[in-house]
Amino acid sequence: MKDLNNPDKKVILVIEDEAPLLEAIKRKLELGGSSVLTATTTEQALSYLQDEKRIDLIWLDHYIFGKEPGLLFVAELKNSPKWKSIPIFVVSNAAGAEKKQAYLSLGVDKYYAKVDYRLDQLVKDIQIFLAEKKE
Amino acid sequence: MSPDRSGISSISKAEEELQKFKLAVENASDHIIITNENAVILYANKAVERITGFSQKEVVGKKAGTKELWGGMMPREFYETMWETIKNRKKVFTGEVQNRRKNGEIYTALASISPVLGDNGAVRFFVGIERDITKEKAIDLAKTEFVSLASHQLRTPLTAINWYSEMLLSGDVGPLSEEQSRYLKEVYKGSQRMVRLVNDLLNVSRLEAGGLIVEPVPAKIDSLIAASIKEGKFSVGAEKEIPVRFERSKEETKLAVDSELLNQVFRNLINNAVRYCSGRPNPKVEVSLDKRPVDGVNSLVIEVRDNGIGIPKLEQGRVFEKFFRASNAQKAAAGGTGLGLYISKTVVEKWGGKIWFESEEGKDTAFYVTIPLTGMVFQKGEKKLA
Repeated sequence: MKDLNNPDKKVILVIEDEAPLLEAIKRKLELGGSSVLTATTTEQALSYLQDEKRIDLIWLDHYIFGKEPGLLFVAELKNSPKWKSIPIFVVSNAAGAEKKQAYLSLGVDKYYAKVDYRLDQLVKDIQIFLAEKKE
Repeated sequence: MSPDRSGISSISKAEEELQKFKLAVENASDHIIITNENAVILYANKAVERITGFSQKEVVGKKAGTKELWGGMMPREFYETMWETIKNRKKVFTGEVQNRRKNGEIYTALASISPVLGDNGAVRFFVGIERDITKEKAIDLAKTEFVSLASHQLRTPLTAINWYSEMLLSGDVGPLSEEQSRYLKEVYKGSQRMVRLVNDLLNVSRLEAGGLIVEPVPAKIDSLIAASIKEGKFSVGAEKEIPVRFERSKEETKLAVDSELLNQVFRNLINNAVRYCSGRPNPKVEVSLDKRPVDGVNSLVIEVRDNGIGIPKLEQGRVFEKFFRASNAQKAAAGGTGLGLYISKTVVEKWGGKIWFESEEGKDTAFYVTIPLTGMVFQKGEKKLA
């Protein structure tokens, strides 16, 4: 976490409750040059958001504890003046494009079906997105 | 032969015949009622009592299809369509209907109501036959829910297999020996195949649960197709690099389509074309667009043609069946699920289009999909594809 002060490193908060997936995502993002914070619940994620000065992007799974916690969490962020501009990538195995639409209409930036994408492709998409945003 | 005797014998013969029919109707396992032209019940068989809980005595003289008995549960439009069919058009009406037993329990019946016309062509009676299909419906629903749940639960471990093999193969945690890498590629390929199967099963369960959403919005078709071909290169096993030739129209075709559905169907056709011509001499896949009337509907026709293994003549009638795979397809590529074309046909018909093919075994195959030039047909529905 010492990297958090390095201004060149992007800080990505990953919220995913499947430990093996979380580990793979963290490793791959770090290999891609980002700093990674990990959370398995939305409460944990919110406490990071409150404590950390800088989070450049949120990687969010749909299935985290609770009924529709992914959606509620996004709604909460998008209602907060402080957090509403943090980009959100939802990476989920929830089936059905109606979920995708629900997230996109709440204002998330990208929605991916986890099982259909390579991890390196997702990491690359994030890098491109953040690079374009900076320009 | 005295006229007296013959008269009596033919009457009793007729009575016997009548008795036979009466017994058959009375004891049939389906609920059968006969009403007059105003739906007032004249007769009800035993099954009516068994299924609805109302006794034969209770129902005779009352109006069928009302809340007083087992009916009246469906939206008004349902009954309007029914009456229009049987009374004005004098045709048989069949439909699934929710009813209520005397004890308040709701059940689902498959109903068929036929008008019986008199010599003057006016309705004299209606005959209503209903079968209680509540159990079958429940089993069907349980099956659909099971597939859907199983598919969700399968996707997470599959993601773990995919991502970890991918990282190992990319050397993220150090180099692999050639043999290790070869073995791991097999793990990865197997997992990709499982992903396809799970996705297809999930889509079948969503389609069969009914109510597919079709939301057409104006789109540029040539661009959609070109993008779909480009994106497909990522997912269809990279070793099978077969160029897909697509000649864009001179003027971009604009139509109201549900691009996700179009993409899904188109990708199925492309994947098949690539799969079944890979490994053959000069494999070739060509995509083209054309506008022409199909069965009287002005349509955009999308053609996907390959010079692959073709479909054997005798098996052509079964190509769109669920889980069906042609014998030569099974030999050529073990990885197919037999669901792609079933899903495609279901989806294309939902949007108001048609799908068919022409094929010669060992030579070529062309699949055609149409979209009405007026755009895809909007369907309110409840579900999108997975």
